[in-house]
Amino acid sequence: MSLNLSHWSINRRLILAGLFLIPLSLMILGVGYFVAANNSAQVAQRQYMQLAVYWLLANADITPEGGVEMGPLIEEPRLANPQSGFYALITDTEGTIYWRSASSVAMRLDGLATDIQNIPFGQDDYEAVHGSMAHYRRPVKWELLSGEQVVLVFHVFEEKNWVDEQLAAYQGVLQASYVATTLALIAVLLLIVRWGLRPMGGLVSQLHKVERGQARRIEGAFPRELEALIAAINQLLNNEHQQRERYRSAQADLSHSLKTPLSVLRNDAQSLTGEARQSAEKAIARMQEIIDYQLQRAAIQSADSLVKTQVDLFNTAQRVAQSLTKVYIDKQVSIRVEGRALWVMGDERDLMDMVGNLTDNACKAAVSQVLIKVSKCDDKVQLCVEDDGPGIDASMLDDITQRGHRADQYDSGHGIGLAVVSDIVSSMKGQMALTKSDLGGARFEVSLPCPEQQV
Amino acid sequence: MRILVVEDDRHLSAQIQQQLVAAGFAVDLANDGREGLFLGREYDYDAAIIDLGLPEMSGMEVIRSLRAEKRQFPIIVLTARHHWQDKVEGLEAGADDYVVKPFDFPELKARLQAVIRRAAGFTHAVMSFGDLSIDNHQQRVTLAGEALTLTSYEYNTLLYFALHPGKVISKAELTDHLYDQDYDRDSNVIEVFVGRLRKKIDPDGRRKPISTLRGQGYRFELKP
Repeated sequence: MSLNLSHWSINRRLILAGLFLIPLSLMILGVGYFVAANNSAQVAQRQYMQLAVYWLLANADITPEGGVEMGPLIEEPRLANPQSGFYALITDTEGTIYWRSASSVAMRLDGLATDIQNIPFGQDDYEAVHGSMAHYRRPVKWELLSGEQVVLVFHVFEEKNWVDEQLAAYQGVLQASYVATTLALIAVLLLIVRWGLRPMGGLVSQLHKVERGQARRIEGAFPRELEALIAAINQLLNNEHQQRERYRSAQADLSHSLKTPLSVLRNDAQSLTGEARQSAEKAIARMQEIIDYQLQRAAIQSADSLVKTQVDLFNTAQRVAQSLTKVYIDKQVSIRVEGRALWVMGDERDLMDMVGNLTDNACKAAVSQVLIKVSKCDDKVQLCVEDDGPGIDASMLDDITQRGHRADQYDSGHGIGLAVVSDIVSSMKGQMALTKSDLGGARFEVSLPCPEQQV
Repeated sequence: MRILVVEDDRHLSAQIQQQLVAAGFAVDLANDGREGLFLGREYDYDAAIIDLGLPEMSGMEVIRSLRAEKRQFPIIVLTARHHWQDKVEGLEAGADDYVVKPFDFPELKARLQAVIRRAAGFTHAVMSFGDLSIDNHQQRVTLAGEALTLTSYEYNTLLYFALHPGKVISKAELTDHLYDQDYDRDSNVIEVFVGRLRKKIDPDGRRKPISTLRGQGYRFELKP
């Protein structure tokens, strides 16, 4: 399975990079510190052991018998304490011991002679580890009173535990600091990533608002780096809006340009008689149907745009009801609207076409009552338009939503109203059903998706 | 009835004018929005037919302007636009009805008669004044159940009186609303029509539905 990193979020990338780099950097730093501390401890030990040799030199004396006498070593009391971990010896180059400190009584000296022979004269040596101890030695040429010269080697041993303990303590502090610093830096990294990406979050939120139809463009203060991007997005949104308006305007002009001469033609056709008139009227009706349907379909398709709006379906129903009350005043149809403000995502024109066509059909069919209900059912916004007319068989829904099919015998209309409603409902990913109304007539139920947030 | 027709397509507006005149209406034509608004402001029409897609000024703007200036004559929107939003906005702007292009002239005429009648406060197509009935839809007048034979001008004169019961109507007003603008206003044709009408709707002269107010005009008074 391949890992496709190109889809990873910026947030994830920054955090992962930080999580990798912070511990690695601190680890390298820690190792460096540890090595430096180790070196420093060894240098300190060596300097101290060198100092101890100077103390021995200052206190030692060669007796006429060729032995070594040692004065009181008050500078380093450990030399007087057995097994204190700090020992001193004076030997010749063969390894013969001339003097040893009281602390070295139980100390094993195996192999000491071999070590001694390897030392070039006049140089001191450190790190010639003897067992688990640090060993510092310095050969010294000593002139006796007889004028004879002997070479004595001054040895100082110190148990390495002391340095190890120092280093272990340092390592403990270093590890605790490492963990604390790593955690603190990761926390800071998260805050920095969050702070740094906050404008992106704001941009995404604004884009969602635009998508939901709650805003027409991206507004607000953004960092300079995003200004060009936001300007480009706003330009795109503006272009899309203008293009949509131009499209609608062109549709209206086209509609006007086609239908006005068609009106002339239709009225002229009435002056004909017989078959000629029938033939002309049929052809004109067919042309009208095609123009209406195709323009309506084009309008619905154009509504599938980048920017959508939220439309109050209840308000739309009220506007349609008030307008149609004027139109059907002679028929004395009562058009009632029940419900509350409920918003759906879509184009206002499409929704008004949907409500208008359904209500107009209901008014034509009604005897005296039309009821429009807008309600919320689970995650759907439901529109019901019903009347007290003769009703329509529910099995006819598929037929009457086909272009050109009519279930009525009214004078006006060309049987595209319900086909248009069906197209609009489909484009909005909704459903339409036909049932029997309690009022006695037909009841059209349209369910539309409810936006995540109502305005 | 004097009708204002605002339609930019000269062929269609001429056709509407011709058919309205043949149906007994007096018609003024305007070919753009500005001219339509000017005529609507200047003259007291019985109704207007206004196309929405007009040059110079949209039909919607003309309607809004007329309503803002308290011009209350009924308006029918003529629209080629298939969207309900256009119809609803037209009706909300102050129109009383809409007709979608292409339309049949009888439908336009019926809707025109209906809005004129409704504007006068009559909800039914048949207006009754005692035993006198005027069927606005069929343009038929009956007296005590008997159909009366009226000429087109006589019918239009009676209809104008019936739509304004109790109101003093001058000869000039009658002339304005019943005849084309080039009609000779000095003639006594109105008096002749009113005289004939009186004889037809009040043959025995008992009810006197149309009274003459000297120097002012006529008043139609019959209880509905």
